[in-house]
Amino acid sequence: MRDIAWIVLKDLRQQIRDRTILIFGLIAPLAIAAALSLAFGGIFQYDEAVTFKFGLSNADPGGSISEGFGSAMAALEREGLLEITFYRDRTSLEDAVEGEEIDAGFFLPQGFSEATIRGTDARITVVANPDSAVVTGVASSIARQFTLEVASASVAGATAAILAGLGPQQMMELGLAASQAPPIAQLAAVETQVRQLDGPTYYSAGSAMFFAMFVVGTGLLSLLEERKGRTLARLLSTPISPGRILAAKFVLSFAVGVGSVGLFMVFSRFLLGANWVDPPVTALLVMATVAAATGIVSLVAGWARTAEQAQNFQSVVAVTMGILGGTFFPIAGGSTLLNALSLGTPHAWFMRGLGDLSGGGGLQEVMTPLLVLGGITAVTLTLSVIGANRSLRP
Amino acid sequence: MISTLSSPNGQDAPPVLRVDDLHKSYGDIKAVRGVSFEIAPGENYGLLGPNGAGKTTTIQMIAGVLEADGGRVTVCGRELTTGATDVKSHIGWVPQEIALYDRLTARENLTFFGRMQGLSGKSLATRVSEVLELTGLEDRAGDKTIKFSGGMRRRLNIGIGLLHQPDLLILDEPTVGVDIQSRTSILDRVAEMTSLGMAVLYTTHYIEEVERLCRRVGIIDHGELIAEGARAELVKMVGEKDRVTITADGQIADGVGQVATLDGVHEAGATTDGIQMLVEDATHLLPRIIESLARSGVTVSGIEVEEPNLEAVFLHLTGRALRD
Repeated sequence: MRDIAWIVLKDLRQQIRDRTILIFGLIAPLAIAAALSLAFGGIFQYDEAVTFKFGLSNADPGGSISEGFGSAMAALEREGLLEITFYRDRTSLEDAVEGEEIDAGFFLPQGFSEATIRGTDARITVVANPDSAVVTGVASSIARQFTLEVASASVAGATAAILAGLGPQQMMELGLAASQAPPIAQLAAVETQVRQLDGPTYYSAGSAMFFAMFVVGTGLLSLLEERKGRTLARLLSTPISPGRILAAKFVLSFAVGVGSVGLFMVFSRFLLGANWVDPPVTALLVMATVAAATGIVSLVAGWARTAEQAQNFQSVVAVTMGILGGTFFPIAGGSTLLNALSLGTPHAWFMRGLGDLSGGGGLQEVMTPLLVLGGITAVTLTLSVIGANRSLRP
Repeated sequence: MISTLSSPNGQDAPPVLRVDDLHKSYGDIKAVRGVSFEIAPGENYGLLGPNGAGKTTTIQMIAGVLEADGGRVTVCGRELTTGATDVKSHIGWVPQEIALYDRLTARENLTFFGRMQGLSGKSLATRVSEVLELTGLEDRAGDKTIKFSGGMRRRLNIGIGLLHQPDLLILDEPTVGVDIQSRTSILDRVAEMTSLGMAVLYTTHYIEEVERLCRRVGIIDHGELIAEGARAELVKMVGEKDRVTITADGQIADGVGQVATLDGVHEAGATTDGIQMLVEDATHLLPRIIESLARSGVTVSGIEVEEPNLEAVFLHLTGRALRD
């Protein structure tokens, strides 16, 4: 282990002297946080007070379930989360969305309540601008959560009705009572990412992750520089194994990555007002994410023959994964494919973990993101080591 | 079975380096084809060949930097394999291209590579100081190597290879691109190393360096070791003769006729200012030549004897000059 430490220290010394560490470790995090503050600082001030304007058109007036939905929406309006406007029919609701009078709308079709109780095709139609991913995501989540809660209450009600020998009307009333109870008030449990990270924290986390994908290339670039400068061959002629040389470069990337991202998060706390809760678990999450990013960048850029090529590969991966991972904008309202691809990025798991922490969770709640990030690290680093012969030999 | 070689001090000793049937290809190009040789302790072995002959590839495989496609390298009785990293501590490799960390000082470069060789504490500090002194860089020990001249960088490059006092020092064209002063200094140091018992494998395409330093020479061309032996053996092998050039005046034609009859003289002819001849063993024949010329009325004012060199051997073996 000592030889690995000596290589890391040697690299750090060189990077301090050529100011790489100063740029990546201090200036870049500070500059990015300051730029974000200048660009979005004003927006963030209002972001926390955002209220969605939603519309509702109920073609099933007097229906027990549809009335229940109306009541639930009213409850959210009282909490200041929504502003509800009622529309007489679907067309006027759609016109209102198109005319941007409202952000999104819900349409309850005729016979909705009865269909719900009978368990036949009952749908809440969400009318939203597909370009507004956040609004679409929130509206869809409300509708989905309501239908889930009603379905669950219906099953419970039906069971009770069978046991008590109740008739259809009484069963419907039970269903209504169940649907009006607490579930909508727990809307917060639906879409973690959208719900729990406030604007400054969301964009800071996204930027931190995007930044990390570049910073973790430090070790790999150092390896390519060693190859270019012939010192890698000289190292290979010493009694140290190639695996240890690689390990040293991974450690260097990881150390610089954690340091830089950590500093960025500190700067974003003061410049942007990002809210990093539970610092020890957040630190753990940062370390797991940086390790995964190191593995991915090493694997991809390991195919490069020159430092310039490696930097290009790294940029492509950083931008692609940044988009897929939802670091630039939330992808909650995206397609199933996009959501699935997102889960293949450390970014998405980092954001999810931060969301869980922000929602009051602790280490236990972020175990899934941590395990997935650990898995990404293990797989990518193993593949990097297998392909290392290419990067190490002269 | 362990083979033995006669070391420079005359004692039989197991070889420090044994190379058996080494092969390496890059795609369709066969860079090294069945190279085999041995080096005894304290022996200075020269690997001579033109650029692109396969010297560096051979050396990189011996240094453990490059994996061979076939064959075997044994250093101090231990086979050099991918996993046998400790064998490398017996080897000091000085690459042809300077391999230093520019942003570290000379002392830091030496200390780092010393640590990689397993040195630590006082022994490391002592060796670093000794090597700085040996390379004449004590005064510049604290300067970053990027500020060094080419000669200084070259000396430090060699110093790193010597740091851990290896049993086998491999020098790959160590004098390429250096000034005459540094070159002389490097050659002196190499001679010093062998006198201290270190075996040296020295590659170059400069014949004069091999002739000055090396007890035995291997000639490599197109990836094959085409000849090997002591300088005299190689010359004898190809039957080369000494060229004697005599500056003289007087009865030149008579003189040429007389010397041509002497045993050992193969060719003789008149030049604008004397006589030139090809002879076997000029050292022994020269008194008889001079006596014969004097009897023919030739007054000798100068004699130049040119012994056959490795350049001639190379030319003989390959049909082309070493620097073609």
